[in-house]
Amino acid sequence: MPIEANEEVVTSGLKDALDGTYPAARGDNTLKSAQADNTRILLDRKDVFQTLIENWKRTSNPVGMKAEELVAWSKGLGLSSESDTILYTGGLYQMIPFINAFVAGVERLESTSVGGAGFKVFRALSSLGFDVSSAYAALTAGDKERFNRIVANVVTLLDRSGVAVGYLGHDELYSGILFHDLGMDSVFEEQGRAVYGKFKEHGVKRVITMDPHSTMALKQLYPQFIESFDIEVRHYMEVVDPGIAVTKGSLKGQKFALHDPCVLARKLDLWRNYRALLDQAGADVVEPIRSRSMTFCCGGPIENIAPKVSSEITVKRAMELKQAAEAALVACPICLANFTRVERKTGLATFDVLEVLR
Amino acid sequence: MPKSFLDVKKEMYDAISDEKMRIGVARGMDSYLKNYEKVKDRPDVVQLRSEVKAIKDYDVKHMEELYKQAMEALVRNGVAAYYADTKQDALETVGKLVGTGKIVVKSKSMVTEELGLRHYLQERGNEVWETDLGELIIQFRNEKPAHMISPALHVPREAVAEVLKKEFGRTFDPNDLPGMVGAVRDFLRSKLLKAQVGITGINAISAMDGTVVTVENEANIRLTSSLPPMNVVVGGIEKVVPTTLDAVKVALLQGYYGGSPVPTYVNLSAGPSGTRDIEKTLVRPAQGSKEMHVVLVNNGRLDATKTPLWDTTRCIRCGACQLVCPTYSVDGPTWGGPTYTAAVGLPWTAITEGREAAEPLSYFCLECDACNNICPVQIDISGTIRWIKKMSTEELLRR
Repeated sequence: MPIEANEEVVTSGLKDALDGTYPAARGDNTLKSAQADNTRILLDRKDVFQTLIENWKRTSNPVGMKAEELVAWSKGLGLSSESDTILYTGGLYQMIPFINAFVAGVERLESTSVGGAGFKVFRALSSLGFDVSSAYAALTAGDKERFNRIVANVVTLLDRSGVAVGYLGHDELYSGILFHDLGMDSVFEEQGRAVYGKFKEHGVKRVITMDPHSTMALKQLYPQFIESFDIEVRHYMEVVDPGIAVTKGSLKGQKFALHDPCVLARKLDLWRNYRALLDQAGADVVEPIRSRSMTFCCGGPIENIAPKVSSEITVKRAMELKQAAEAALVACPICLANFTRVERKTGLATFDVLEVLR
Repeated sequence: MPKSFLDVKKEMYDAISDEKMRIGVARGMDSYLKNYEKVKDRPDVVQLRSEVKAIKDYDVKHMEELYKQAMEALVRNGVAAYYADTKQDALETVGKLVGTGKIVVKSKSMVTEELGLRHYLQERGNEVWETDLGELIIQFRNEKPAHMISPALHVPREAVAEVLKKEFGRTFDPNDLPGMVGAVRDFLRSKLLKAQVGITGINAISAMDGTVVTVENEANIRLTSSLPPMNVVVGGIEKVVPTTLDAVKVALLQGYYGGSPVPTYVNLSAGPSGTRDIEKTLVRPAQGSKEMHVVLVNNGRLDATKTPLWDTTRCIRCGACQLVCPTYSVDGPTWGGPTYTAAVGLPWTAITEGREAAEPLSYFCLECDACNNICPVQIDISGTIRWIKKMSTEELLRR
């Protein structure tokens, strides 16, 4: 039976699959290597890699987020770009709503059941490409505000600890860490050199980071391929004075299951600092099963390449945390993104430690 | 023909909904944690870790010289020693020893899984029975092992009852675990008493004395190596350690980290059984095996020492890394090659099947370092998996 491209099947298939959030056609064959097995479409490595690299070429980050969006959190804070000590955000907290839109989109695409029309849809989809710009356009200010506020909060904490920081604004470039995680070392190293170049241009000597992945990139990975790397890199938990932190606002008095982000607890060995901050602030935290250096990863690192496996890991961990308390605390934008993305399924409310402390 | 990334991705997505596997793996991982807590801070175990790490570091640098020394020692003990470079060499060596028309019993050995030894011997007209309970269950189900220590981790009790009903022709209560284990014991006892060949594995073997050390809870290894007149021992060349005491240390640590706070039996075998009790004249056998053969297998291990995979050759096969792995918790043994699964199972797949077999699997690793954190000899497992992934990605982007 001959297979024909069928306009009607394509349109309705896309709508069902993508909830109308990605209607744009790009015609650049990025889904050429995806495979349909009569019931669903799975993205191949090249589909994912090409999307990430194309985004990176356009915007210097893998989710295609614009620079204005990345710096919006700092509006009105008057942070200098010529300080020798800067806050390096790494962009990841700001990226959370965009990461979730991207991953949820891929998940929906991959879970589409297209029945016998599978191959027809596949053929047509492969000429449409995979464009997330409409999904991003659909994000509300509220989506973005929560996560931007987290970045501003770390400045407050540092300030109260007597540490003044600058911020490079448009000259802060994404660390490239996702490319390292996927084995795209040449892209990662190119990006790393660009980041370092900007530091040097602005006379930066000391960098304070706020998320585990960017910290690992700058502290542990950059020195491996940048011989002259001489910047001091500290995670905010190594710098903030535990004595000054207090719990605040509507989350005061809430009991939290304490989730250790895998990179923070193991590669950076900062689980003690995490607890010191919370203890001193009088937060009510409970240790779940598999905590501290035995922590169970949220599944984040494979969310682009295999979102269904990633989400399954997230849900499993969320259910473990729920056994300890109704809400969970994390200290990582990737953990925060993952647990909030499956919240409807698990009923576990998740907050970053930077939303709870002041 | 190695699997493509999409082949593996599809299998990984499908395996998530295998509820029986998920239950078995979850129960195994949770109960492992409790046993791990009992040993991880014990001062003698902590001391043992640093000693065994030093032993394995030495092994990597001297692998060739050590296995040759072991072979010389074995011959001095009256043991026939063989070096098998490839899978095929190993199969032919054991095949010749066994012949055809025999009853063969065997204990658990991951190397024999790499070789597909059971199937090979069966195809040559022999009756072959696994004496390790977990291995027998997967033999009945015709599956690959789910884990290095617990091959039937993914088989919950209800499924065990089902398979025993099929094989033994009577009904079992899934909650009567002693009943099921008892039925297997009776079945295997008769095979052990009739068998002409017992094939066993190696946890560690002494280069100085040729002594083979194994550790177990079931007693199947000591029975399999002693009851049949011929004992054929098969192990990887990376199992050779300098002295007998070193070998016992490695075996004990594997027991502790494998989930046994007090491993039940440790066996040391330096040769076939014999006695000089009559006029000081040596007579073989006495009460145990009449002849002993040891086959040391390469199958990629020597080449591995020249790449980042060298780190993995220090592995003592405790399986702890797999039982803390989040990807393993949702996908079980699907995340693996033909023999080895999850965590350190990926570099082992690269060593024994070639890197292309491990490459698609590497993309499902979170690099969360749960494996590195628990490994008793501090192998950089996640870093090795990332190296495999990086090689694959770079090659893909070059195309």
